[in-house]
Amino acid sequence: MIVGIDLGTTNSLVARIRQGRPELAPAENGSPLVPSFVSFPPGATEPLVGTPARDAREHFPESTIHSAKRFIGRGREDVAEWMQLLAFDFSASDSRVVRFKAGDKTLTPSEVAALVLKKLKAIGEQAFGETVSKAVITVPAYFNDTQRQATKLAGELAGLEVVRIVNEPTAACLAYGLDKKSLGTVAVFDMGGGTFDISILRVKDGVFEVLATNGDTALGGDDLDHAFVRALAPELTQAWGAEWESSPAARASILSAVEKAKTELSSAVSVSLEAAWKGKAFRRTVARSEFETWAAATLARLLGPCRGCLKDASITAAQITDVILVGGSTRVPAVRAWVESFFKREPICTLNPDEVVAMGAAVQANILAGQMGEMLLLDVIPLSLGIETMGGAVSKILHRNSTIPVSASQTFTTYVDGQVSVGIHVLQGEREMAGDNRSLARFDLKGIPPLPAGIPKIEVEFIIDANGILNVRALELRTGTRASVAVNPSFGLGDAEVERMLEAAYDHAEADFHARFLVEAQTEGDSLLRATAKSLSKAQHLTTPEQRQAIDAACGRLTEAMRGTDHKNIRKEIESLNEVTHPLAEQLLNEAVREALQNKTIPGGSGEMD
Amino acid sequence: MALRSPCKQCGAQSAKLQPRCAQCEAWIDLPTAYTHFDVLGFDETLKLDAEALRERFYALSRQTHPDRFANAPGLEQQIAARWSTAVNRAYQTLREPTSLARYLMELHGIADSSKGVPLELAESYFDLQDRLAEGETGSLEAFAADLRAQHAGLEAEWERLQSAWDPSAPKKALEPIAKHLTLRRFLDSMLHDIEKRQAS
Repeated sequence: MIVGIDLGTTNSLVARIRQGRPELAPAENGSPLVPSFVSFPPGATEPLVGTPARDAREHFPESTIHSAKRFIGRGREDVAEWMQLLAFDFSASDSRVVRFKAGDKTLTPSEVAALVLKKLKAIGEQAFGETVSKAVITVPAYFNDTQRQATKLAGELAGLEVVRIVNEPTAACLAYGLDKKSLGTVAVFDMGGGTFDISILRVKDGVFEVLATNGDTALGGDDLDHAFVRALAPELTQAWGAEWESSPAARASILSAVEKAKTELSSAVSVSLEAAWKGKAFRRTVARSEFETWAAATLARLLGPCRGCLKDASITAAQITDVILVGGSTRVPAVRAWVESFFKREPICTLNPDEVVAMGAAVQANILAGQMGEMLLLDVIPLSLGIETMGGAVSKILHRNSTIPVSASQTFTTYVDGQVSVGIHVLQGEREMAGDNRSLARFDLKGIPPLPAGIPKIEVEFIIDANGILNVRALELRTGTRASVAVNPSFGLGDAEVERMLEAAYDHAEADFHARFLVEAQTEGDSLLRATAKSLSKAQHLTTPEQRQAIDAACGRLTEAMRGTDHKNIRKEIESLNEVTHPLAEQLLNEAVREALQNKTIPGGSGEMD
Repeated sequence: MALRSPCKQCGAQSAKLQPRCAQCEAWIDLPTAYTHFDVLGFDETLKLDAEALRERFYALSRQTHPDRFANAPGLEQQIAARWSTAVNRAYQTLREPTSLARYLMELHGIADSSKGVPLELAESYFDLQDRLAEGETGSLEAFAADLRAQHAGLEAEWERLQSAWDPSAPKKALEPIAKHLTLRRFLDSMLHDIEKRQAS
């Protein structure tokens, strides 16, 4: 089955649609919220994941990893500031990729996310009583291609086929749209633990058209916590001594305390905060107004993305029909007040802001399974895509907020006389200079005829499919010389390394995987054999004896392969049977259409249709 | 444009390009050459009704979006994806009036003359360049106000230019549009330069 998964900075959830309604899978403690925590307590052979891992943080702050989403698909230089703030350590290496250190283990953010996803898969299977093999996973709308690919990799590492990456605010909107298919023009304000997104959608008759999206992938509730800690720092130094700042245990202790205080301040106007380190207690009363003063600078960062989103959607705040709140941080009264004052209307949050994204992911999973009737999501690319031109400038080929699937091309030429190759550097982002944008891929178009500069015509085409996967083609129009690349950014990891991670994940459960692949292949082989038998009985008049013979032979080979235990062999025979039955399938399809046509009355008898 | 071939399935002729045959509902793949107007089923014009355009976009998306064919046979998926891509591209080009106008200019071979400074603007353009080069800031606001007034004048003129569309003489309507768009582009870029200077 396909499930919907909200892979959050702080908590993750898994959901499915049952009888048209979203259903969340409860974890062991009955709550659907699974903390996105992974812990490696000293001496333990298996990592703890979820609630037990979060509980372990207090005792083993150095070997408990959380907030992996902050780091996924990002380079060290992007997250240097964040690496200072967390209690656990990072592996020192010259690689661009961040690696967490937990005891004697080092893990990439994708590997940590994979452990959380594996846990969700198990929780889903337990709750739904079915094998979970495919998933729609949500990401912040403003995640770049690298961050999306790294998330997809995490899914693969967890043994899930990721059938779609969906934007979190869009998913939330789908969940709201289940009951009301024409919502009007909706703004989705999504502030989670680590990320902020704002999306504007037009929802009419079941079509969800994303008009624009914007955000900040490093702005969330965590930032409020850290502002809180910074404000208390002088007092902590008085109580604990200056060395607390460099102690992971002290940081973990105060972070837990401010998280709790922040949550309580959503309902209380004043709370007492308590933390201890090395037997020294720190107590303090915190008023909501104090917290709001500390939060102000963080909240001010919401303004830019919100304004930008309205501008890109070519609408004003007054034209918004409803504002939907998503994400745990929208429980903070100061955040709500900010939203209300910006959009000049009271936001709605009738669905639980922690759960709504997972519910929407399940809706999209069902749309892809063809079971959601008229509902259709028209999603966009969040960031512009282009190539580097002379002097390090960027020429945008696809603009942000373009509805996907989409393609576009532009023609370029050479810069030097006799130039026989050009380097195509694919970039993502809004900045004018190549160096300020995210580099996605580089490839060369070779074999250009040596001509004076400016004469060759090089067409560069960008094609994005419904999954948001980019393909780039370059073509020299005079000679027809081609080059192309499927952009699978490696976020600094080499192919070999990605492979190693996949293998390591498989190692643990190789037997399991083998069994699963085998069962899947056998099931598929079985249904193909049935379908073929059925088609043959219907289409005796359509097959030549030679065709019939080839099909029978292929069926025999597949049946034989299915008796064995080699899933690859079964796959091979499935392919070959598919191939020989392909012409038959086409003929049957044509036949069916002809039949349907005969039964159809054509109004007005003969003549031209308009 | 000669691009309507009969349905391969039932032979029915259709006056319009469409993803499925109106008679037998067989898929009709996109021809090799077509315009954005063909894809969305509108006649060429400078002025499209935004609501009608969006309705057509939604209807075609329902018919062709790949999410609706995630489990369909490969061939059907491919044709749907090609259609959906063309529909999105067409909608993005035609929904914004100046982008639509530029597209029509391209179709009718009218050059985008944005390379040189338009005569009407030459004097103030070079005046501005001088002021910016000299690092002047004081009088820039008055200068910007004048440019904004000219910009507003152009916008008022836009509707009249759009209404002048005549399908039998496209160039006659598009030539003044080309000139208008060049002026707008220069005004925009001059205003942008001023804003950048004021911000720094």
